[in-house]
Amino acid sequence: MEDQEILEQVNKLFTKILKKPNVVLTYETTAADVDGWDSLTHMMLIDSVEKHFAIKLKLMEVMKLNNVGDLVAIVKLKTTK
Amino acid sequence: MNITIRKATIEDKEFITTAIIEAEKSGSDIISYCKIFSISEAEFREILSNILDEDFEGQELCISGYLIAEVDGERAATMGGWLEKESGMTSSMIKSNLLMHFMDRNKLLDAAPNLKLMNEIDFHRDENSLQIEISYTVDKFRGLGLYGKLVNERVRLKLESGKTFEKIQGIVLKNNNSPVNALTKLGFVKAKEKTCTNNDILNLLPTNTKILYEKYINN
Repeated sequence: MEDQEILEQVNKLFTKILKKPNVVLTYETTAADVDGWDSLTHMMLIDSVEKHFAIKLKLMEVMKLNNVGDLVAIVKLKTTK
Repeated sequence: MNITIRKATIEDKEFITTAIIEAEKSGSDIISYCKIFSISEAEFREILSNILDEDFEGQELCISGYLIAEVDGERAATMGGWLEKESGMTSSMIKSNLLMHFMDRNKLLDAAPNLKLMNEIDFHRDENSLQIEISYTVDKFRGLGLYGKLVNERVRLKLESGKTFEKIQGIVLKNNNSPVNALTKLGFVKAKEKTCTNNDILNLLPTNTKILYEKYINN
């Protein structure tokens, strides 16, 4: 799966959880950039990403996620293994 | 009477666990984590133990973030602390990641309505401000000014390590008179107060009001 395709799918998941249809994620987007991306929705987002892509993120992997690009990269890595 | 203050080690895990649980109870029988996630105290202790073993800095469930005050060689008090967003991630995000890893996922997601309620009285912690959280003094050592000594040592150690920060922040439950009085005595001022008007919060916390105290260190 290409980065852009993963980003689009992650964007759809975020839109659904945050209940904000106009959320547009980029690789550089961080939690601070998105209204409503707090500690609670963060848990829901990670859970949703794991279920959607059928992957499991390790603790250190989620701790190193600084932006959406990092999330896309780890999803790509895990889904191409 | 000889009072010393040192950094916590893994040997202090049990004392810190007690501190976290007592701070959570805040003079009541309510452990908010147990209420929020519908888990027993034993389950919470196991989760807490696993999280403390990770020792992930930047939030209050981390042994390295604690200082221990000893009186004549006996553990007497402790206090947690960290510089907010020092690693780039907020303390609440770090804690979320830890809870996600160590808790039953369904229980975590089922707790969303409770967490949403808790968010109503959450405060934004300023980036690069020194956070002090979870303080506990053994009953027989109360009145020795250990709280103040722990705060002052926390500031001294952070500055000594080359970190620069201007502000200290501490969040307390309004009903918790002991830290409220201690912070006031140390020159902290009430910056914000939040009250949750939904009485369901009283099923999760001993009070519906939290206060954010602040102090600028060059004051």
